[in-house]
Amino acid sequence: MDFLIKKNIIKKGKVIVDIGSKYIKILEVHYAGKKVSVTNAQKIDSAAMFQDDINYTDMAKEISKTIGEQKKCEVSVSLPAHLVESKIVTVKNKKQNDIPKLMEKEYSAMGRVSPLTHILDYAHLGKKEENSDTVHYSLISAVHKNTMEQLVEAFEEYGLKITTVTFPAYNMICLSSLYYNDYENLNRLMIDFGNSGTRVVAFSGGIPVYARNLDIGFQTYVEKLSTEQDLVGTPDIIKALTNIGESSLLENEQTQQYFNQLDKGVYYESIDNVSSRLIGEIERIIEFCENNEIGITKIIYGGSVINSFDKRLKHLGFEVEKFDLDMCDDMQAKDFLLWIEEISVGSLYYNALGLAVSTML
Amino acid sequence: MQGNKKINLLPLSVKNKYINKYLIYAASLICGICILALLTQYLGMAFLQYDIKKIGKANTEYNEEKAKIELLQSAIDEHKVFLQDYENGGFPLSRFMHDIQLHRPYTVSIISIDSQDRLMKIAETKEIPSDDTQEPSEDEPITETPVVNETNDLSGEEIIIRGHGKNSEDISRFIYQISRLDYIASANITAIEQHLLNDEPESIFEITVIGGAIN
Repeated sequence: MDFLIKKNIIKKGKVIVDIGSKYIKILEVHYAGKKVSVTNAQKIDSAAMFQDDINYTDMAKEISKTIGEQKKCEVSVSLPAHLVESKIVTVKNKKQNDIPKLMEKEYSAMGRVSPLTHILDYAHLGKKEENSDTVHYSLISAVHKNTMEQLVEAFEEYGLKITTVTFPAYNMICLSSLYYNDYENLNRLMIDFGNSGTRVVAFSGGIPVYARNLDIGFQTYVEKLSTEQDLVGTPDIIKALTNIGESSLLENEQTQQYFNQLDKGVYYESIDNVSSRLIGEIERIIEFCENNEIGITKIIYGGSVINSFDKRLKHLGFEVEKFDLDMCDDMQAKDFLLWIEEISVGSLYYNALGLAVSTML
Repeated sequence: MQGNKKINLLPLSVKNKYINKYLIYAASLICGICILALLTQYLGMAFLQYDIKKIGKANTEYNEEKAKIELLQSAIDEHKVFLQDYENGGFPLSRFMHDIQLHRPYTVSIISIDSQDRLMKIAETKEIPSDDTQEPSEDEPITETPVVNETNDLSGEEIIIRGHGKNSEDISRFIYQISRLDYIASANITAIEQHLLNDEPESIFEITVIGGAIN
């Protein structure tokens, strides 16, 4: 069906659901005339659904309630990163036709993953000439069958027809198609700051060559602060993190209220601790890339990052861009246009937009 | 990304369900198109049959009309040939009658114009020998209708003109004019006598002309 949309044979509407442990981000998208129009963006608080195990029934119920009349549309779902095993694999000097067979072998090398218990799939990302070798890059992924069965059953119960299931790292790779003509920065880092973790994908010559999930996310800050200041409630900590983040300049009456309960010194110390770990991990990835002759020139990021963390990114010495379509209404990819109607999407919908554009790739 | 291979972690059974659904749609669509095509063909054939019948009927009528036209054409051709022959070598009877009327002075009256063979035929008809075995019944009187044979050519034949006039000069001029006609081979005065008609002296004449061809 995506082929028909891509070739501009049919027009179609889709609902994009990006399941996160803090929010479920929902986009209503319409595909017509090589244009991806985002007509609506909504988010649902999903923290309650992520207690112990994920409650897919409640999730489907809430999504169904939110999208209302759009129920009949096809639904594309992005699973939380921790549910999906994925990695970028390389194949040297092989024909592209042989890749499917070679990927079968790669699945067995993933560890903890078996075709009997998992659903496996791959995407061919591209090929590069490296030291007179033709290197094919592919992204292989696996998700537990139980997870998928629960998800599909719950969604079907509420009349939601899931047609695509992906995960954050892949969505980010799809989103990179919007930077196809940024020829000066073909070696770049794309970072998705999530609630439970951070996803980093390194691109070399425009091709994704390295992907890594860092287990430091927004929740890490919350947990750290909760441990350090066990008398302060989690909602207050989240409020403070969301509104202040690392910003120490915004000290006025409005921001001061957050420190009625929180110890400012402990707060900034805890924040600095987590942010330093996170930026350290990112720095190590950049070093790893440099060791492999990939000189990163730009960092593109999105997701739920705390305020002023971008300063740390800028201190790394690269061009830093926050993916935020609120400033511009559209973005031109090679074969299509991403158009945002009069709605606010912000960088929170980073992943969801990646999944939205994946139809056109 | 290169190629069309994309990641979709949806279970194969669900994918197949959707694919089957689309296949059913596609099959239904193809079947629908086939049925529509067959119906169109059938309707086309029906229209063709109707057209064939219509054309056949028109063809029969055309053939009948054509036969009639051919018959008429052959009759026209026969007449044309006759007229052509007539123009080429026959005696122009109607023109002769017209010329007589044209050259006749008002003092001269024509009694009769006869061809020799007509006279002979009448004579033959009147000389039917009486036969005892075949006596005509008195209830059926003999009615003899003189038949003018228009198809006979009078060229080389004698034509006898009888008439009368008060002025002998007019009669001479008339005879002279007749003798000068292109298609008259010769003209002779057979007889001319003076008689009293209505107590007035009149010259009764008889001219014998021999017909020729117009050319």
